[in-house]
Amino acid sequence: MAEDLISSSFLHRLERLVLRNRNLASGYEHGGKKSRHTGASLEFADYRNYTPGDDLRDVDWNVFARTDRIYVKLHEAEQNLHAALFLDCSASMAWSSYAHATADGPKFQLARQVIAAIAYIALSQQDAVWFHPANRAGTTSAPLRGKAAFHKLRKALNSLTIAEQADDLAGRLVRAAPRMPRRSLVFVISDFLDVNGYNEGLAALQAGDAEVQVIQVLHPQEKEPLLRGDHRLNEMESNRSIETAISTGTLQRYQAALAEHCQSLRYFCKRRQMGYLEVSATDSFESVVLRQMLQRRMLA
Amino acid sequence: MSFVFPWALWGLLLVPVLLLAFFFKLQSSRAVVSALHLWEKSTAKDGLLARFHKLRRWLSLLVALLLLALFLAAAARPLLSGGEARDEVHLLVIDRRSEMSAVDAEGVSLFNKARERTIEIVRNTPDDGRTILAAADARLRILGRLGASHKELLGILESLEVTGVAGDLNATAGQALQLLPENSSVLFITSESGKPRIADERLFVEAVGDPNASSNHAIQDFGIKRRLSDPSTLEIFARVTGPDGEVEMDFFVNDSLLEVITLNLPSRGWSRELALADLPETIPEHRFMLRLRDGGAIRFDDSAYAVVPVLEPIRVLLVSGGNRYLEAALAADQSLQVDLLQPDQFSSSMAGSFDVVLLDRLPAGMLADAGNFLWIQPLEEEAELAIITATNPSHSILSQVVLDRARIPALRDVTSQLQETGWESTALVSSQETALVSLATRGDQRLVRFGLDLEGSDLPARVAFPLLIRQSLQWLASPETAEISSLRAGSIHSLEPGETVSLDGAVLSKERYAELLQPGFYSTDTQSLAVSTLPEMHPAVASGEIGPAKIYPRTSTGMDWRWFAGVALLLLALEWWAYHRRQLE
Repeated sequence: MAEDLISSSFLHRLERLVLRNRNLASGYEHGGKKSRHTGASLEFADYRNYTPGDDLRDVDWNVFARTDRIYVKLHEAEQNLHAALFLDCSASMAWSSYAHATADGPKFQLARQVIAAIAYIALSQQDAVWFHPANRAGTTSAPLRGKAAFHKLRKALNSLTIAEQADDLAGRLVRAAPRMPRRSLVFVISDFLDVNGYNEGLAALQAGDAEVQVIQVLHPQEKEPLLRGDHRLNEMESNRSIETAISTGTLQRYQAALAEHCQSLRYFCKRRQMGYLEVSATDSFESVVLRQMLQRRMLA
Repeated sequence: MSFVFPWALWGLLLVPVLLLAFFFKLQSSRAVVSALHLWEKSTAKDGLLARFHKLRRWLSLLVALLLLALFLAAAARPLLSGGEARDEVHLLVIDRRSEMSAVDAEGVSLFNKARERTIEIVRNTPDDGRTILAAADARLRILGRLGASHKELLGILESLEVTGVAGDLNATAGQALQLLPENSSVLFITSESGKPRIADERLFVEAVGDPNASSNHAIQDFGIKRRLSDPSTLEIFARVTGPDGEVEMDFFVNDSLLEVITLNLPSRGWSRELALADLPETIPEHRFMLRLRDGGAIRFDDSAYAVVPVLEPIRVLLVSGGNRYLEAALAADQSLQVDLLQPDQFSSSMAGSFDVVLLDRLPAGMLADAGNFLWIQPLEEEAELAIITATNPSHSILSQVVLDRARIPALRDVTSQLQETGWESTALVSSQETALVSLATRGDQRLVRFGLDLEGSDLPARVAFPLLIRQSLQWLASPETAEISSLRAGSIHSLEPGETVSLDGAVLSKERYAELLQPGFYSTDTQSLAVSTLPEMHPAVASGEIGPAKIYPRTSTGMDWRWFAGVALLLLALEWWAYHRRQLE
C-alpha cells in the first residue's frame, strides 16, 4: 500500500481550494462558511430597528445622523461545515484485473486519494470531517478538525482494508444518515456496482438536508472488457460464478447493461440535485481533483 | 486390421498430453469480475447456447481426440484384413547400386545395412500377398511377393549382391510410381545421397546411412579414341574425382601393367597416346583397364574398362588417271593399304580382291557386280555451284566433317541411272533435289558416290576432305566397324540364339539378353565387352536401357488414408465453426 496518498507539494496546492456547497453552513462552531444565522463577522448582512438591549457598538450612527432613527447593523455569521466522506470498501473496489483483486488496485487507490484530498481541503477551511469507511470492520470516525487531524485520517486511509465479501453500501448509508448533522456536505465514492443498488442510501442522506456529491470510480476494463471465449466468471463479492462463452454479442450486451446502470445513477443524481462525477480508475489523481471536480463545481 | 506404417501409432502418446493441455486450459479460464449481475444480464439472452456451453468443453475434448485418432489413422494407413475391396500394392525396394558398396566407420557396407533393414521389414509384414519385394539398380527387378512363406524371399535377399550400377533412383522410382495403382506405396531402402527426389505422396524413403562420398575417389572419365589422322594411334584420357591429394592408378593393357600414374587432385586429368603398333597384334582386341590403388569407400568406381579392337588395314585399289589430292589423302592414312592402277588396266574381276575400289572420275559402267566402290563421278558437262541444303551429320561418314562455306560444283544426279542397275541409293549430302554425296547398296555391295567436281571445288584443300575419304572407305570396308567398346554397368546386351555371355569364365546367361551388372570384361561368342561404373554423362559410355519394371497387377484394395485425412479436416473445420468462429466475430 502506498505510504503517502498525497504528496506534500500537492497538499499545498489543495489549500487554495474550498468545498462548494449550495446549503449554508450549519455548524456549531465558528468557521469559514457562510451561515443562515447573523453573527459577528465583518460581512454586512442587514439593518433592523434598535431594540433595548442591543449592543450600542452595532448602532449605525451615520444613518442616525441622516434620519434621526436608530438602526442596528446586522453582520453575517460564519460557521463551519460538516463534510461527511463515505468510501465504498467492498470487494469490487479492489478489482484490478480478471486475474485477481488487490487493495493496491487503481480503483481503490484513486478513491482513497480523492477522499484524502477532500478531507484536507475541508480541514484547511476549519470544517469538520466525518470519515465513513464503508466496510465491515470500518467504523465512523469522530469529527476531525484542523489540519493536524489530517495525519490521523491519512493513517486511517493507509490502513484501510477491503471487504472480502459483498457489502451493503445502501444499508450503511441509511444507517449513517440519522447520525449526521443537518445540511452536511456528503461525498460518496464508490463504483456503485452493488447488486443491492444505491437509491435508498443516497435518498436517506438527502433526507437530512445533506448536499450529496456522488463520485463513481470505474476501471476501463470494466467498461470495455478484454475477455473472449470460454470463461468461468467469478464475482469477487458474492463468490458466485457462471460458465459462459463470451462472444462479441455478449460483450455488446454487457456494455449496454453497464451503460444503462451508469445512466440510471446519473439520472437519479440529477433528479435529486446531487452532484455526479464519473472518473476512470486510470485517470491521474491530480486530474480528477484539479480538473474534473472543479469542472463539476464540487470544488472552488 | 494392419498398418502400412505402424510407427505412426506412437502418436497415441499425444493423448495424455492432449488431456493435460485440456485440463490445464480448463483450470486457467477463470476470470474475476466486479459485477456478475451485469454479465448474467448479458448472457441470459444466449438461451440455447448457454445450455450448450455446459457441454461444449467436453465435446471439444472429444473432437480433439477424434481429430488425433483420424490423423494418426491417416498417417499409419490402415489395411483391412479380409474383404473384397483391396487393391493396394506396397512395393519394398532395396537399393543395390554401386554406391551402396560403401562401408561405414564400423566396416559394414550400406548394402548390408539396407539388407538387414529390408529383412526386418519383410519379417514384420503380414503375409497378405500385397507387398512386393524388389531390388533397384539400373532398373527395378522384382524379387518376389510376400505371400505364404517368407523363407524363399529371405533366401533371395541373403544372396543378393550389390551391383556396379551407378546413377540415381529417380527414373526407377518414377517408373514404379507410374505403374503402380493409385492407392499404393513405394518404400525405398537406400542411402542418404541416393534418395529419389520425386515429390509424390506415395513415395517413402528410408536411408540407412551416407556413403560419405567426400572420402571416396572415383574414376569419373576413362576415354579412348583413335586419332582421326592416324587410327592406329590411341588417345587415352582419364579423370579422377575425390578429395584433394595424391592418388595412384595402374594402367593395364592386355592384363599387363603398362604404367603407374600419379595424379595430384584436383587435377585436369591424365592423358597419353599409345601406338597400337607397339602392342602385340596376335589377339583380335586390346583390353585396357585403369584401376585406382586406394579408391576409398565405393569399390566399383575404382576401375574402368575398355576394349579396343585391333584395326585391320583396309585394302584400297585406287583406279585413277592421276589425282594428287586423293593420293595424298590416302598415303597419309596408316590404316590403309593402297594399290594404284590406271583405268585401262582395271578389270571387274579385280574388285573382289580389295575391300574398296576407288574409281576416280570414271564412268558408271566400271562399277562391277562384285566389290565395294567409292565412285567419284566424272565431269560430263559444266557443273554449277551448289548450296548444301540437307546433310545427315549423324552418319559415320560425315562425323566431324565440316562442309560449311565449301565451294562445291554439283554434277548431274545419276541416282535414277543407278537404280536401273539395281542400286538402292540414299542421299547423304544434297542440294535441293540433287544428291552430292549418296550411299547405295546392291546385295552385299556398297557404294559411295561423290557427285561433285573435285577440280572445281575447294573441298580437297580442306581438312574435311581426307576425313571424308577415310570414313567413306571405313564404311565401305566394314559398315559395322568394331568401335571401342565401353558399356555402363546395368546395360542389357542382346544375344543371338545359342550365344552366351560370361564374366571371368562364368556363364551369366543363356537367354536372349544378358544384364551386365558388374564392371569388368565380358566375353560373348563373337566379341568382348567392357563394362564400367561411370556416370551417365560420360560420352564414351553407352547408357544402359531401362526395361519395364514388372509390377504385379491389381489384386486388392485397402482403406484409403485420404478418407481419414478428409474427415479429420472436415471435423476440424466444423469444430472451428462451432467453437471459435464466434470469438472472432
